[in-house]
Parts: sequence; C-alpha cells; structure tokens
Amino acid sequence: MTFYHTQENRGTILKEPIKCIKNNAWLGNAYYFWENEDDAVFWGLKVKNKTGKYDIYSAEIVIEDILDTVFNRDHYNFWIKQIEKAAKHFVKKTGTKPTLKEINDFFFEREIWSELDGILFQDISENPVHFMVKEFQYKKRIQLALYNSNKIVNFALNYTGQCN
Amino acid sequence: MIDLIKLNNKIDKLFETETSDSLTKWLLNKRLGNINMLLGDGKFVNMRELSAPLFSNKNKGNFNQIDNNIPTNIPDNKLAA
Repeated sequence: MTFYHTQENRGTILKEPIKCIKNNAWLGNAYYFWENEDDAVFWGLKVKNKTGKYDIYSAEIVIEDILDTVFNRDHYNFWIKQIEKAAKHFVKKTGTKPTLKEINDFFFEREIWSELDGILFQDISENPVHFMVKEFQYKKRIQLALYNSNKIVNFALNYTGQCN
Repeated sequence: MIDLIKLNNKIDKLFETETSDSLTKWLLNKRLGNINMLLGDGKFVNMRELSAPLFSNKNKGNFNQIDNNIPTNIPDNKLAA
C-alpha cells in the first residue's frame, strides 16, 4: 500500500524516511506517513515550510502487523480499551494524566508494542482546501506511525513543492 | 496477524506489576529527563503542597518543634533592640 512522507527540502534526496522523535509525536518515536497525498502536501505547506520548499516521498509499505485503528473494528476497540486502561493506571498510581505519546512510549519501552510494526491512526483534518462540501470535515486524516522500517519496500522522492 | 488477546493479557500483566513508584519514576524521567541519574533515587520534597501528588509531598511540616537557637531568657527591655 502506498503512503506519503513529507520533509523540508534541504537540497538532498533522502534514501529513507526520517524518524520523528519530537515530544508532540503522539504515537511515539516512529516513521510517520500520510495515507492521502493531499494531507502530505498540506503538511508540507503548513509545517515543513522553513526552507520555502518541501519534499513528498512515496513508499510502499507492507501492512500485515499494523494495528489498524481506522478501518478494523476489533483493532479500534482494542486500542481504545488499552489506552483507557493505561491512562486509568497512570492516574491512579501517579495522580497525573499521561499524554497519548507517553502511553505509547511506555508500551514501547516495556516491549508491549514490539509485536506491532506500526499503528494506523486518524484524526480530523483542519485543511479546508481539499474538502468538497461546506462546513463539514467529512474526510479522515489518516497517519501511519511505522516502528519497523523493514516493512518499507520502496521509498522514493515523488516531487518537490513550493511553499509560496 | 496481531494476536489481540495475547497483547491484552500482556498489558494486564504489566499493570499488575507496575507500582506507584515505578510509574512515577518512569513518568518523571520521561518529562524531566533522566533526573534520577542527576539526583539519585529518593522522594521529591516540596516546600508547599500541590494538587498533583506526582510532584508534591503531603507530609506537613512540624512547626511546633523547639528551636534551641532562640534564647528564652531575654529581658523585656532587650527584646526590641
């Protein structure tokens, strides 16, 4: 299946995606991909715009052992149950609410997520440009957080976009 | 194929073994860096009580203890000096 990876254009072509280790990476340290090219472009324009250009890479990814919280009902119910279970334990035992990233990091560091290649996740896009109807964000914004880079079959530069 | 039942049991088992101390330590390290390397293991003591127990110490200070550095036999005419 094809996914898209957005990066700032810094004059060199990447041979592999860059792992995101930022504190606001909500599914933890991972290679982040967009399922829809529209969202990858919007991310380039909105966030990866410091050099005035952004790069969109495409990749073929084997999604066998991906926790699919977007289209698989069993996976989604499992995901909700585990996140809420973890949050409840953290609140009860530390008195503090964890972030989604902290829960994912915790599961990863305790080798719970080691059986997963990644997590497919969605939120609702703030991007009005590609929506065909007025005042309703009907489209899911789907992201893949890939933990296992061995699942990337092809990774290549699709094109470079201009921010202005 | 992901075995959801196996993963669920693994997570249940994990939280059975995680204590208040282990989770607090993990969260502090995550948020503040590896602070235990710097300060060593032990409890965090604050001067005032905060609502979040993670960063607070609920022990009240003992303000009734005798301070031996204050002389008790000061004549009245010296007190304001």
